[in-house]
Amino acid sequence: MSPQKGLALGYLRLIEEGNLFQGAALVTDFRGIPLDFRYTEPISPTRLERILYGDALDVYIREEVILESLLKAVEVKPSLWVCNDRKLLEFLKEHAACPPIFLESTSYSPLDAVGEMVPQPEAGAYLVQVDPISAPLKLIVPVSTGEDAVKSAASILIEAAASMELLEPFARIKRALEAVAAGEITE
Amino acid sequence: MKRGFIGRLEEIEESLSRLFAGRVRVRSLPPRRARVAFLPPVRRGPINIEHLDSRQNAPVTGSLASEWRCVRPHRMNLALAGSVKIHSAPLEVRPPLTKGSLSFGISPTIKDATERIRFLPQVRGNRVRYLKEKPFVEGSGLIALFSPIIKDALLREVLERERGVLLIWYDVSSDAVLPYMLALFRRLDASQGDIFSWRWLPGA
Repeated sequence: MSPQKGLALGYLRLIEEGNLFQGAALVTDFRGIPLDFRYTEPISPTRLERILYGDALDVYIREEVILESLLKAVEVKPSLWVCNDRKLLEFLKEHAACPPIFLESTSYSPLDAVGEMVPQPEAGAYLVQVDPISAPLKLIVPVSTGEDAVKSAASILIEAAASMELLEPFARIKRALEAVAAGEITE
Repeated sequence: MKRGFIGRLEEIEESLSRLFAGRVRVRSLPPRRARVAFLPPVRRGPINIEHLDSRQNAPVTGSLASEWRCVRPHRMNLALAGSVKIHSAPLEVRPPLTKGSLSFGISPTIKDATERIRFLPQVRGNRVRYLKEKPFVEGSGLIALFSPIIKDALLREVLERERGVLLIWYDVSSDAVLPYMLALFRRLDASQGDIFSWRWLPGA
């Protein structure tokens, strides 16, 4: 299967370390080549902001500060937003222009065939075999996502997996942010 | 009414006595020389009471504190003026409002590093353990399989032995799309020289 030109996958990664919050969005083509990469400078809320926002601070920073800003900033619109934090799904469903999914590696044996999907006990969760020589991935879609939308997301993943490693961009985002912090990447 | 007024004055006198009595120093003396300490009598000074009759029904000027949250006093008492009636009046004066925008919230700085991230390699893990049918090359054993790789877009590849992963750099201007697998074989019959060999295999 050769990849379809013009389709792209968007990756959203949020990093929380202590009092620091940072986010990045990477849109790649179906070969994993970057088309758009935006990141936020690390955000460190003050003590006053922690008091004012209380328990809502983390959610506020994650969703309204980081995600919303990244979604607005990205110029290349992907076919799917892939995130590695399932807490972001509902927000992305409301605010993103394309469907969001959560994707995670597993240590299960490969399923029988590419495209096979096995529903999991967790709502909206599936095991999906996206290529013949890897473990199935855990796919989670927002609750109340229709069956057709789930199949559509899975077919995009299968198509992309033929020419790129689906979870690899998350690691690349992390390396890029580390390089930014070390001064190796500047604009 | 007069008695009430005098009674209030007596209360004030007592209050002042207590007030000053509390400030008198009491010194201890040796037991034999002990004597009753002399306390000066509290003087009753003249107290002027101003009649406020002419100011009856005058509107009360509220303080800023009373304007807070629109608290409106309905009754006010003066401690010394038992005969004077004070009428409440609604507060009309409101504190001035400051116009302008209040800056509140956290705003992040977004940066674009698209060109720079293209210099970072992609990483391919070894997938040999997921192969159901391993490719056979006579005299060699398959030890690693990296996939998928767009062979015709590849600029450079580096095997990172410590992690067992392959780092690949693509030519971002390439239009190539066909995926391949890159297999690493170890020659079983070679004791020296090149014991490893790479082979491109069609994509899975």
